[in-house]
Amino acid sequence: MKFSHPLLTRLSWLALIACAGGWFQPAAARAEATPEYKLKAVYLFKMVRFVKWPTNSFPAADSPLVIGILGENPFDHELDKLMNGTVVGGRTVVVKGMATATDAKKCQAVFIPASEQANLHLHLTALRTVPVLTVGEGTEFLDDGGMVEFFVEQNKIRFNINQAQADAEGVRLDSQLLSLASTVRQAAGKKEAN
Amino acid sequence: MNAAVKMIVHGVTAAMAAAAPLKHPAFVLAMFLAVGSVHSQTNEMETDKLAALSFKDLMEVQIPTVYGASKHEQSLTEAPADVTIVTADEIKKSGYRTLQEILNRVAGFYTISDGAYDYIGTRGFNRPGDYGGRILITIDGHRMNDDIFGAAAIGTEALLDVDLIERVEVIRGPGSSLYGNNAVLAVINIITRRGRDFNGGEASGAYGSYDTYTGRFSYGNCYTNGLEFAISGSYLDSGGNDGVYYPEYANINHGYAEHNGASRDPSAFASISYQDFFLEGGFVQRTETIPAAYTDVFNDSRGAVTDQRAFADLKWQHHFDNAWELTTRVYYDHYRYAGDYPSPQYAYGFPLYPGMITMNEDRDDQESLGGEAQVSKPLFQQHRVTVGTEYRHDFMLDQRNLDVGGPTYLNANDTANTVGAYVQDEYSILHNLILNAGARYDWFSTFGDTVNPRVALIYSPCTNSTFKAIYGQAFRAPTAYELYYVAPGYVSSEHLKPETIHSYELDYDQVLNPHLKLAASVFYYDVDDLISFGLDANGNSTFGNLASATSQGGEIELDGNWAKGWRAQLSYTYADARDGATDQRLSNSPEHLAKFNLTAPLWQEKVFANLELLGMSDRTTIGGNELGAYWVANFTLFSREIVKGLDLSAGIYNLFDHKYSDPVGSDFVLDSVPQAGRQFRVKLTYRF
Repeated sequence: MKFSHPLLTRLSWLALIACAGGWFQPAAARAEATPEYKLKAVYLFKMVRFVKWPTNSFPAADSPLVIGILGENPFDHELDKLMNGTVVGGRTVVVKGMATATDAKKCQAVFIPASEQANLHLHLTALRTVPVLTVGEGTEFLDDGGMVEFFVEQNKIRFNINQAQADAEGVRLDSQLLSLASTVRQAAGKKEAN
Repeated sequence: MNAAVKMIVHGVTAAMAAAAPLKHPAFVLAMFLAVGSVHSQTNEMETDKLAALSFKDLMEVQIPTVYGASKHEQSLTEAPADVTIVTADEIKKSGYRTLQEILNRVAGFYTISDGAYDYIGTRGFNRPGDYGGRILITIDGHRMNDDIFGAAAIGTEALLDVDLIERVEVIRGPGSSLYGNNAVLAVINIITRRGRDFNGGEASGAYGSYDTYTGRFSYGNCYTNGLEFAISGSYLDSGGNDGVYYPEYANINHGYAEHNGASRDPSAFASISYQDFFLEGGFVQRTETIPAAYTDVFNDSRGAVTDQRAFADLKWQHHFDNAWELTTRVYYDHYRYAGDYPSPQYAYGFPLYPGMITMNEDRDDQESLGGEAQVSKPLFQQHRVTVGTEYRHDFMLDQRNLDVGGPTYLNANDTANTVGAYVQDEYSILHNLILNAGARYDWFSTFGDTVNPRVALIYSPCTNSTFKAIYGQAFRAPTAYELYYVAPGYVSSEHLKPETIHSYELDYDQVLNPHLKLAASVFYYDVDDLISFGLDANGNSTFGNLASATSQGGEIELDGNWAKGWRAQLSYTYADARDGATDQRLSNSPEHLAKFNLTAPLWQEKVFANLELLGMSDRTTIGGNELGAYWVANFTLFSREIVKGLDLSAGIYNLFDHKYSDPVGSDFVLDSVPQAGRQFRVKLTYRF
């Protein structure tokens, strides 16, 4: 057996000791967000600045702008760190985890990570009639009634927008955001732009 | 004028002054009209810094991923291999001229040159006389090793101009479980720049030592209807290095070969994509006057080698609704080799009149067609399964050798077929534990079948730590050259089996702090049935599966990134590679390999200085002679966008003019070849 070679054995012990060192890093409690999700967190941070919600989507004039994350949070603390305390459109931003789509109806924006793929259709159906900006991943998100879908192309984050869906629910997306999207779906009768 | 600009201008003038008289002033003018695109490369993903970017700039930030390790994009930590990425930005800042220089940056890799060709090896394996065929090189996933010699082309004979590279993925360890042949020690996948990466035109020109002129013109764009294309042409003309002294030939022209390595090298590359279709192709033809070491006729400029490569690859990739991803492709490959060797006698021992020189002609042709289909799909939440099959038909594998006006020694016309099928499953056992297991079956018309598995366990126990344990088996098929080459005194060896490797590796990656990463690995390679030249029972030279070898060692790498573009990389590799029969150290196998690369911003993240140090310990030649340890330093000044659209680079290679030699194979008259001393290059690139 090749593993029994003395040099390798010695080296693997060394590696194991080095590993142990790694385990006792401070703040080693949880996995860090991957670079992809760090980047997506920044996208979300930028995006909400290009969105206008109908006033009736907030319970009160001083209600915060709530960004919900459905299911497992792939951002670790990155999104909270960025968002919490910032003010968008005169409202304080708050990031909250959401267990169900029904809970998420009270948010202004919801991120649905790829890990919720199996429940995607249910989630989006539940969110269809409320002015909530839905942001997700994968190639079916818009087909299922989502508004913004992230995808990766040539190692860069890109997104498609379903403007027809956003319009239908009263969520206004700024033309600057639309111009950055790879594709924009508009209501029937209007042509697919960009 | 700003001080940093002065420095650059001063550097260029100094370099120009140091150059030989400029014979082509028009070319130099053209050179001043020439840029690489600026890519935001973020090795450290700090969200607060990213948040400060404009949305538009944010969209240019790249996620560090690798395609070649699993044949789909994945993060480096999830890849079933120890992976290093070299980016376009690093290539520019370090002033790399060829793929050979890019790969020399990477921990564990080292190259040798016989004057005309460069050969790549890693971790103790780089046998003189082999053609680098234990490393697979691909362009956007398309195999570039030819089927005559299996060679990994990395010098100026390689197809792609380095300016067209978006990133180079160096995937260490066995890759035959996905790629089949040649993926023994590593797979090197080159991702090319696409139309959107150019977003207009680009012209580049350079002048360097040995009267070397290079020029390139590229244009690329991406339109709103989804059509994207890039097209590029390059030309290199070099007078060759006539400054190398060969003490063995001191009585001929004082030991200097006048046209040593003079070359002409046109190349072209293009890619176009629309919706699910992607078509790319390229062409290169490099002709080089052969260096002195090749024959026993010294300083005869008729000796030349020509390498011609072309390929086309049409891909159709579709994402189906239920997350299926189907990729199919068809491809064409062409390789032609022409060698003209002056000889004082007819080859293989027929004498001529004294003082008479004949030309020996070596001609090889390969034409191939192939196809591949691959399906990838997530299954039951935790699995991602990839299944594929590939067929390749070499409908021409011709080798000829003759003396002009004399006998024909070899006229072999062969064909070959290969069928492969592979499966890989990435199983997320826990959220921080991945089992990546796969195997590929290959059938070759030349030797039969082989099955090569790879299993990797990837564990991320805590923040910023990743462990990988990888076992893999891989193979290198005997080449047409090894199978069919015959000549008087040489017999063919059609019963050759593939070389196989069993590889064991443990990797540990640790983010030490936001600026510093540590990577460490230990490896054990066991290579059997190495194809070597030997004697058969009748005393004829022939190839056989004659040798075995092992290599064991460790590698450690520190990678630092700081504000304003400061960057430092330091690596050290220890490799103890030995012959299986004699337990002697392999030839051309340095025990220690060390590399250092430092980038310092001089002015406003627009002007950078780069220092590279490459060192290796002593090696032996195949003749048993010792070549001493050496190190070289390379220094590059790079500026971008000082004038809108203009990049300027000035580099000095082998800064301290260290003298060293590389070992070469048994085909050569000498067993080592002196290497280039100090060289320079200035380069301008202009985007419009």
